[in-house]
Amino acid sequence: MKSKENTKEVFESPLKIRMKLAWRAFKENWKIFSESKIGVLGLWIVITFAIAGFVVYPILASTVWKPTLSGMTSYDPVTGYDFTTMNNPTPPSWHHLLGTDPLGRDVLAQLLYSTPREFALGILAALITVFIGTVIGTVSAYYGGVVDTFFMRLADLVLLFPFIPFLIVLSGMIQIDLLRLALIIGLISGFGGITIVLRSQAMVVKVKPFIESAKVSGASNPYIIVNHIIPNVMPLSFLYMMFNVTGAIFSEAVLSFFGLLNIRMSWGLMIYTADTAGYIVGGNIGHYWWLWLPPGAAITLLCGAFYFIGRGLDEVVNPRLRRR
Amino acid sequence: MPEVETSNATDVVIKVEHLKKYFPVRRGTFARAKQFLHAVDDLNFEVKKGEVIALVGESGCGKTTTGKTLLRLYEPTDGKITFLNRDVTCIHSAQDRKWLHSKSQMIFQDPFESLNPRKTIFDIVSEPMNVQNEGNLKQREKKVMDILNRVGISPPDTFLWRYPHELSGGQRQRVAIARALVMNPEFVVADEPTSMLDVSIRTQVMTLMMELIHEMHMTFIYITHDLAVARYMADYISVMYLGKMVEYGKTEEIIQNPLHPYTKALISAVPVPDPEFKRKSIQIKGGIGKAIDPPKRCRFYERCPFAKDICAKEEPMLIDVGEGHKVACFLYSKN
Repeated sequence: MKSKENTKEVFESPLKIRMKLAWRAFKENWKIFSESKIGVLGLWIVITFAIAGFVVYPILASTVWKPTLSGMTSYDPVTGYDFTTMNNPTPPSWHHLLGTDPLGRDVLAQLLYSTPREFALGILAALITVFIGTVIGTVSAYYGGVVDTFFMRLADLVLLFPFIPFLIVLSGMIQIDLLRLALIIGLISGFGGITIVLRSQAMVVKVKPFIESAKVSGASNPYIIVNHIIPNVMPLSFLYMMFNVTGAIFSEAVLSFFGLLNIRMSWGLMIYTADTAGYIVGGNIGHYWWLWLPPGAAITLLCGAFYFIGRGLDEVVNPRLRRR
Repeated sequence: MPEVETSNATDVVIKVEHLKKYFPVRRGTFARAKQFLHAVDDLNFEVKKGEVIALVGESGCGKTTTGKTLLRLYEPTDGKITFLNRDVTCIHSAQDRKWLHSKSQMIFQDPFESLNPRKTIFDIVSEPMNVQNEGNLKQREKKVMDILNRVGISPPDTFLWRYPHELSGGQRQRVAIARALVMNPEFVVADEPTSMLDVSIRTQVMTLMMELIHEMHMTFIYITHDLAVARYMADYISVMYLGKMVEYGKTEEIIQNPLHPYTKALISAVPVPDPEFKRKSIQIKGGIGKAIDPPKRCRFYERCPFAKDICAKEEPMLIDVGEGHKVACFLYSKN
């Protein structure tokens, strides 16, 4: 009798139970993740950047950095100019915490303005990469044969592909803005190494008896891929997503440093501006440190942080790496 | 109890004629396979409704391949499989496949691998219904609870949202059985379902399966290498050697009166609990032969202590020596 009552209670909301299960799994994984110091460090850096970009910048832009009525000082990251300063670039001061760039724009404003865009680019590119990689990897592992051969040779090709030179050539043909760049990076790296990794993982899952068990129940091939293989390679693809964020941000920095991207402002572009104005040449490099150090450090830190998170997740996904 | 049921139901559930399954052996990268592994070679049998047949043989003799071919996990190389009076050798339409899989199921050997580690028990057990689009969520839940209760997972609601790794081996195999039986299949292939289990749990699971078979009037093919298990479970025993069926008959008939030298050797290898008991044992030479393109002769020829000249020249046919006891050996053929 008691079990029957429980039954009703249980079945009132299966969705709620699933939420609970997900929460429990998340807590367990979080425990493992939080034991890896490097992963937690990465997470903190990412959170700091996220707060700076998504919270601090809008607040500052609407309060302290509001354009003054006289129009003497503007903190706009692209069109801003400070008429009160004598010559640009000016070193850090109370008005400009990280100084101004050669065109008189506030470096800190540029830095903060770019942060959400770097996030968007990195995460969008990584999502596309992982989506393509997971689908192609599992499909080619499951079906094998011609499909498998085709996508694996394509992956070899992409791996050998000179990625940055290709983007340089491409930027001469089309206008590459942030969204397009994310699409291109996502598409190209999706067919590359990640496909091979996820395919090999899917090969391991494919021969497990529970796949045969599903087949005996009459499950179709797409059903098996979606319901059995993909959930089992998902942790790995999530891990690779973190590593891909790093790759995307880095590619963006390289391309905007070459001045090949059609974007308003980015960390790479800040260094590009300083470089083309001749401030990162020879002895200037130490003297005008505020022009290249903040964006350079930001790129390094954010890329590193995502990589660190990936390393932390690695320990969740690969029990062998855990320290007992 | 079982005798009454088997004699009442006489319609054939699955009939296998000249079933062959060859696997190509890869030689070079670009060369086509020239050699074939004869995993299942010319198998003929039929199973009537409510019967339990045990496929017995040493490892590598094609028991599991037979089971999987029957359930169309492998495409048969040749032969004909008739399931419930329908030819299922070549299934092309998705509808036919769904029909076949709604009527037949398989219980796997390893309960640690045959349940998806990322699914809850409810997901696992209800998957066949999910695939076959049977019932709505409420009905499925009810059915899952019922079947879990029947296989001895109780109270079921405490297990419903657990993952396989939270269960013990015996519980997992019970869940695997529940999953196989949730659609009320007519025909079940059990591939050594107890061989991975602890000895103490083995009997429980076997008893459970016996009960379920008789309750649900299922037809069972029980694959095992253990003659004691086969004797406990099955109405008929079929002994396989290198892809061939060498002996077939009623369980007690096979155990008490084995005819084929291989069956004799198998039975003499079963330990007897009485130390005083002396049984004349048959020693066979060597190990199991290669099934890659075997020559046209008795497959047991190299190991057989009673081999005659004719055994090296021809393949013995499965002949009836009376009362449905069939044996493939020249020692019993009437010339």
